[in-house]
Amino acid sequence: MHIISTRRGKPLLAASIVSAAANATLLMPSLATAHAIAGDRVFPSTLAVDDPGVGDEANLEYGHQRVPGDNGDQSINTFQFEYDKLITQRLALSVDGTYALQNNPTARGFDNFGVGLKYLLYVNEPHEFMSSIGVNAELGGTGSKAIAASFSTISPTVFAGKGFGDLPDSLAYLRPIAVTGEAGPALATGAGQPNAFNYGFTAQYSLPYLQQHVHDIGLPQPLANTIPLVEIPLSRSQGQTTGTVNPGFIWINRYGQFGIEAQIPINRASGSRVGILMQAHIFFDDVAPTTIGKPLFQ
Amino acid sequence: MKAHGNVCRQLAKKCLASVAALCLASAASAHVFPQKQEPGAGTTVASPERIKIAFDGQLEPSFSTLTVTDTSGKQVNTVKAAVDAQQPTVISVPLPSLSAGHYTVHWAAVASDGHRTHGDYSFDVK
Repeated sequence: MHIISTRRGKPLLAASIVSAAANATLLMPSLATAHAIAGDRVFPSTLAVDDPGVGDEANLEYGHQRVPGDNGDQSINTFQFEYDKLITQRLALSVDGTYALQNNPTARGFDNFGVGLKYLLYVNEPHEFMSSIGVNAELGGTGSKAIAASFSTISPTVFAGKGFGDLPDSLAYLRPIAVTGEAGPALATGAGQPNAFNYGFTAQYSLPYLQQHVHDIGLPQPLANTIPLVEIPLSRSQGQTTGTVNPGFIWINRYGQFGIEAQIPINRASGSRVGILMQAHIFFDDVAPTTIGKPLFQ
Repeated sequence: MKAHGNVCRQLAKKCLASVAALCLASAASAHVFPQKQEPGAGTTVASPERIKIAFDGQLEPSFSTLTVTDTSGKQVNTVKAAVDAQQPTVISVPLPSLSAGHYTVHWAAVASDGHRTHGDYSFDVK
């Protein structure tokens, strides 16, 4: 869990404490995003809730949100990167970082850097089901003192995804639907620091799946490669649940994807205005299959 | 906000690089997915002469397959599918005359580097 630092200046301290819960949701960890295939289903790399797959890939995201602080609302802009490297076909190592800028009070810098492991546990192709487990560590003290916490946060997480391609013919138009989810605690190592429980869900309707597996309705590009979706990343800490509802779109092809979502706060503690989240994602297993895009150990 | 501006410019460059990587990576091969299926998924057609699928990347002819089954699961194509020598992204299989009914196409596409994808879809013959 990323938490804006409370170490530089009292205004920042006060504002950060008040908005910590909201920021926790804004900056929820994404352990490893992946090119995940189960049967006919390709689970896209979702922006706020991590998908259940593992892969060789890189992810860049920009986020903007306004959250309440002691001195009124504050804007937070984040630029996040993540690189995932397959060690084996099922085990991925990830490195991530976030550059954050906020006003009221002004602060900028890198948040703590994170490292993670994610293991693809189970894939059921006929039922388009996939699950994995992972652990991510945000390393305290590795980020800017203006932004990052001095303590580490360890987040063991389970991930799962299910496509509805096994529905009967009478429900064929629901087959493009898929749901994914993740859940796990965020355990702070600092004395007296609150833990959190992070969880989230996505619901997706894959137009590529509709075109290729259900009914070719002749959609033109780029619509034929688009997946409308809603993500709901949530976090609960100290009796307060924060989170957003993120409707948006992902455009995907074999080499990567672009995504954009609105971030609608579920309550005042989660934000005061609708934010935005944008993503560019590269699948190295398809861009560079013979070099950096293959597992270290086959 | 000069630092902010610098960061934005750097991120913009990275995003542009990502876009370029996505757009210029067509020479690579890996997972391939259907771009055009004839007949299309869920369509109702007269008995088709063949099933033809165009993928978004080159296929490995030795390992890519295409079969068609009827509602009882019996394979109806009597000839093995073949990747087009002139268009290595296209695989097709000729069909005998099909009676009215529901048929399922099963494809497995192996790219030249060994990545495998597979899928299926149905169509109806009137």
